[in-house]
Amino acid sequence: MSFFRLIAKAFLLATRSRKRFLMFTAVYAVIIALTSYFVGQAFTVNMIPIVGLPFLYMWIMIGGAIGMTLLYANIIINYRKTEIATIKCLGWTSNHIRILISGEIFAVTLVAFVVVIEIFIHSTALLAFYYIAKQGTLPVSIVLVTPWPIFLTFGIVLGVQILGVLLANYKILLIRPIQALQKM
Amino acid sequence: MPDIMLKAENVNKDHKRSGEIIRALININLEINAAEVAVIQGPTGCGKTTLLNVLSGLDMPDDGKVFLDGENISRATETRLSTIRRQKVGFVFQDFNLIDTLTAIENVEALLWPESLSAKDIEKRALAALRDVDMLDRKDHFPRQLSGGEKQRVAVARAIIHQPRVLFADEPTGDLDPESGTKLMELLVKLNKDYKTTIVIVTHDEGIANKYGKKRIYMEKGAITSDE
Repeated sequence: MSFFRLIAKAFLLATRSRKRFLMFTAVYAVIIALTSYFVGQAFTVNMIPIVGLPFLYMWIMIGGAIGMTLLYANIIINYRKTEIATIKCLGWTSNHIRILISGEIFAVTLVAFVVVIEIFIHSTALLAFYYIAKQGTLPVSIVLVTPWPIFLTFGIVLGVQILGVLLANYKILLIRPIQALQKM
Repeated sequence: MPDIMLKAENVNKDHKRSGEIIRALININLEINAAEVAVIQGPTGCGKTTLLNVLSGLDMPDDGKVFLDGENISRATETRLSTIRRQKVGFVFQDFNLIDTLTAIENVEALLWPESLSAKDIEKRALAALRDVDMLDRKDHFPRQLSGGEKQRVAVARAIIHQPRVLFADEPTGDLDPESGTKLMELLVKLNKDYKTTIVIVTHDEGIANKYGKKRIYMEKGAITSDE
């Protein structure tokens, strides 16, 4: 019960830090969208990679996701250092805090994914409406991105988040409860 | 014979600062009874906060033993100390240390979030704690919407939600105006009377020590000079 409560509170804490949350959600949404596009271009239908620029760009975007997750994890821990020390004084274990911070890191990815899916669905619908209205028929392929790359990218970005979680876990262990009594 | 809630036996603690060793605690021997209000006072740098940290398990002594409610905490694991803090100890900080993105009631509830209690039970306890500190009408306000005295009251509510056996307060009135400071001290004394909570306060304020300290521990240069 406490695990799910801590995850829910993690989402609450993430969304309450509005500016930071919106900024990182936007960045992750762009990363997921672009990576999905390049993933779609970089693989055949049978998942055979096509070596070329899209393949390279896909890896660049994944590198960007890694950079962002490490940055976000770093920012969260630095921003919450006194809070983490305080709740350690209150009796939270490092494990409890890990769940909270991990939840905050994953919250951004999840919301960014939902944003991308929403944009994908609505843009596809708008394009379909446009073509039907203008030409009376749908072209063979109207979608900018097919759905499977988005889900695959979401899985990749979630996996990449583990690096951010590992960094956050390491930094959480370094924070001692006594730091709550020190002016930071 | 009253229970001994806190006991220090031959406690020593050194700090290393810029390569120099500073003797923060020198041969401390101390007993604080259950349900007592103890005030640790002394000039800046005398070791009062270090003593508080060691008595509460936030810091470990280099030598000696510290007993909290009969248990030797000076060699306890961090996991065990976390459990003790969650069950028996409350903290009130000089800077309040409230979480800015949580409301007053959420700040109070936060201590119990890792526990296997229902949300309703946690809320009930938080409301009771806020009622005790007369902050029920401000439960949905964020710390930025509260005055210093109000923030400290919420911090006290957070410290008592789990009905701790001992409450540690490090300069709790340090950031408050005199009137708010007096109200806070009276609140702590009331909690001591109502719940028999042992209260240990660190302060450099003579007025507070004189008025509220049933047991007064005076420190100077790392040692206890008087204990009455």
